[in-house]
Amino acid sequence: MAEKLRIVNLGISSFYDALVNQDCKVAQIDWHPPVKLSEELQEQLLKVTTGALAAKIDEANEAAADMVIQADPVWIDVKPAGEVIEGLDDYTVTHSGPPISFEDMVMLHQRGMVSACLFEGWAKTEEEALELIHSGKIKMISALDTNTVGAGTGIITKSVAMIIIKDRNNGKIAATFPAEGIVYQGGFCGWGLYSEGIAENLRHMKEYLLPPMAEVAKAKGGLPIKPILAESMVMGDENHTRQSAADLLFEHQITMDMMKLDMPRDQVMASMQYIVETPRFFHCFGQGASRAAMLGNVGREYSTVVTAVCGNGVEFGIKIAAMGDQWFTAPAPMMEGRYTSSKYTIDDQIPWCGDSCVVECAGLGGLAAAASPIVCNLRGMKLKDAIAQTREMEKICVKKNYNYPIPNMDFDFLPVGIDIRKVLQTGISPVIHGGMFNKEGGLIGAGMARIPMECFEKAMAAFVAKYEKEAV
Amino acid sequence: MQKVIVEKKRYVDSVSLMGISDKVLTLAGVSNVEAMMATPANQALLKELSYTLPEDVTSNDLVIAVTADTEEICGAAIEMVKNIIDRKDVDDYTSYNNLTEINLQEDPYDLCQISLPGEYAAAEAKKALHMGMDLFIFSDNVTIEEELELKQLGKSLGKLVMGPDAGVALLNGVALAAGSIIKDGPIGIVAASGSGAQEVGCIIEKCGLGVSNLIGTGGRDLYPQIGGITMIEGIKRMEADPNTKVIVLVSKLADLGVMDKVLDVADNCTKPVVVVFLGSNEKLFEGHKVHATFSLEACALKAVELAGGNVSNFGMNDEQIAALAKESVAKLDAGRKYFRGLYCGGTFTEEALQYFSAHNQGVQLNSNLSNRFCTKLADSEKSEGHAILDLGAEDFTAKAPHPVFDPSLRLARLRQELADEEVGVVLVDFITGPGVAADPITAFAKECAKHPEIVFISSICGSQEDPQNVAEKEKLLIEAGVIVVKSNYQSAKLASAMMNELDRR
Repeated sequence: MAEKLRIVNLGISSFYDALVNQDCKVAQIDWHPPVKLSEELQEQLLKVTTGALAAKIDEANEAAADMVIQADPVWIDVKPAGEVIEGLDDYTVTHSGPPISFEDMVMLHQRGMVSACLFEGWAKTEEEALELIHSGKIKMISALDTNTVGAGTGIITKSVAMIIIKDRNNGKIAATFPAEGIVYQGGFCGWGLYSEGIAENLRHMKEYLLPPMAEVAKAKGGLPIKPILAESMVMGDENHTRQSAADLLFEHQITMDMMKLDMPRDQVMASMQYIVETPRFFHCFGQGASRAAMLGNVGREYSTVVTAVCGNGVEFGIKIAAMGDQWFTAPAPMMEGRYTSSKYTIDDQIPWCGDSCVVECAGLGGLAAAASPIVCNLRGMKLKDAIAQTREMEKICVKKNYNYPIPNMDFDFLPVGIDIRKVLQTGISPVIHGGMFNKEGGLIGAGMARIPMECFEKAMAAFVAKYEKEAV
Repeated sequence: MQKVIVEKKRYVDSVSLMGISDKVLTLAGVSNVEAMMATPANQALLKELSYTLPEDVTSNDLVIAVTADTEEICGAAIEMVKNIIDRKDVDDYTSYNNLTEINLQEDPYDLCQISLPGEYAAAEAKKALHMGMDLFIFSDNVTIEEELELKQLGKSLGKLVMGPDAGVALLNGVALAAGSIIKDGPIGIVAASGSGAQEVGCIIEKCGLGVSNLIGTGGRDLYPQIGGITMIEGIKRMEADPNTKVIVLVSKLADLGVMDKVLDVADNCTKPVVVVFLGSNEKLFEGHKVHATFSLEACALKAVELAGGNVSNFGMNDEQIAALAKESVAKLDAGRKYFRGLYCGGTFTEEALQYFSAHNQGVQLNSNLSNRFCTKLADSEKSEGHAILDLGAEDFTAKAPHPVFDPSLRLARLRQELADEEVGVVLVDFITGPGVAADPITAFAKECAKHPEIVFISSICGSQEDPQNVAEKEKLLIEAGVIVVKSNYQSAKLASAMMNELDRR
């Protein structure tokens, strides 16, 4: 008999299985109905995928992805936000998502602004706070227009103590707020809440719980974050929704140094207890590391790589490297997933709110689904679905990040660097993982969403307008 | 000599690194290989092995250290370590969004099998042809204009275009779509009827011979618009194929002009050609040299005979069938007076209807199909009198998957028929193969076993090589009291005899 037939299967996957079972060489095409692109978009895509401009874009994107692959984020210190966040002066508050007016904000953000005024002592009562806000004296800025990350509501004012991450590769510094302990959790920054207890806890963190940590960071000469991310990734974390392994690895890294501190034992114990008890403590480190790497890409000429993705509960916004700090927005998507209690329904949810999906820009979270089938399982997915999610994300990314070999993919590497050209060409939108917010505040579930295509379309239009002259 | 390479700030898990040495030590001339993160302990170990490390090395750096006979071997070993770490040593998982992502020069494929929704199939098929692959298109709902364009393009490029709406093929021992893995042998089949070709092939195998290749052309190849492009190309390929000794052509009755043209091509073959165009008669073959047959079974047996095989004692003779029919029907309660045929093979339904209409004259045959052999049921969901159903026809598949791939619809219909107290004889056909339902038979056998008051007839169109284990499944059916015959034609003969017995009571 002649040599065995080699077959490409385009369609029904059981036919693929049947051929595999006959020991054939088979390739399965992961076929999707063709994306219906407007003529305008087709023209734009042609310009950025052919000729000299395409070559320049490819090169810039490669460099943008390398910015993450070569990154060397280390935790170096703990400092008040006012000292490290660009432009976070007095009477200034950050919020998550793209810029938005107070009037248009969801209740969570509006309440967060009031909380900020009360916490900083700019106002004594809620009425005073609202008056102050309406007077225009409070400056409200988008966290991702600075070097921080506005996880959740992203309410940050100058007095909040921040975890400082320096990327020794690109020299950028990012600051992220740590979770507020087992009792208050999201509290002020993440959930925009205010009470005497929350304020007291924030001050206690800054003055008592975090200083021992700062000493440890300094004593270590900076704690490298990437090894923890890498190791936790082979232990089942995708480092957005889940940090179970990373938390343990982090605690393991600092325990001896904490014990060696020449500080009051009670204080060190309290600090240790805070770190150990706080759920997903390491999350802010992963965000800081991701943000610092991405700061190295802001304004990178010719690059179509996404540098920021976030929502404010009303609009979703993205930035791409070559367009610097320009926002490209669309209505924020609703997250799909599971609720913490069956009493919740979609009516309780608000559309995507938060900046923590900055980790997806650096190839974690939704892009790293294969690393964490357990996280995907909460959406009813099986292992193969989790792997398929990462494989799908590969198709819109620039390259693979050799720092993260994933057991479930037979040690193949996670993808990194979302290229808006590929997103538009394939019609595959990036999957972002995250927590669901209640209209009233507080976390009511976890799940995923896809970034609205409109964001990518707008970014492409702006990019082409900027570089059109160089297209053939 | 020794060589050390440091990759700064490159983290690789120690467990991944541990597996590397063994692989690289297989290189001749290499005596030691270390790939490790430069932790203090590992630095000490490397120094012990007399490697010299740079001053600034830290725990965050990866060190590759090699001891080998020559500089060149050191270099090769280090290269190999890097390749393993970067996963260049393994066949990378590749997933494709699009056909054009495959580079056939570097990564060759012979054929593209397409089962996309019809509206998208033609565009992808055209791409595949231009890339240089033969085509097998399972998709239906491809327009006849698109089919013609594809087949003309295929012809000009020297590529075979099977389908659209091709159900089976067997090429170089590989079964496509719903086909069976019929064992290798001297008979080549070109067919415009999927289940018909499958039946011919499986009967050939039951006679101890096999099939060289089975080319499915798609049901419309012999339409006047297409003119038999693929069947003619198939005949030429079979004529040229040294492993093929006898050529078989299978189709339902099609356009007379096209059939005649195909027979002209067949006449020019040096190899014997056996033809079954179901529903045709002797007249069509006047003036042609081919061996004309008029049932799938007769076609298969003729081919086996011409290929030097033994066809004596294949199945039951007419007397045995008559006796079995009489004996079986005699056992039925007087109120049980009707036959129900629940087919999943379209050609099987047609072959049976043709046989019944010729041998059960004056009997009303009800069916969901409408053709000259039967009366269309008012409601295909409800059988009346003697009923012959093609459960793979559109009135059923519009609502549920085709019964060849998912037996549940037909199983439900079987239960419905079994609840009818006027039903005496039930026929079910089965089709096996790597691409169809994993177990199309067991559930039916169990259902039949519950009804000793009913006579069941069945035949399995399948190969011993199919993953369903046909021999074991046949045993299950027999144990459940089902009469299992060797071909669809024999099951039709038996059913026909039983219908006559039922009507005589």
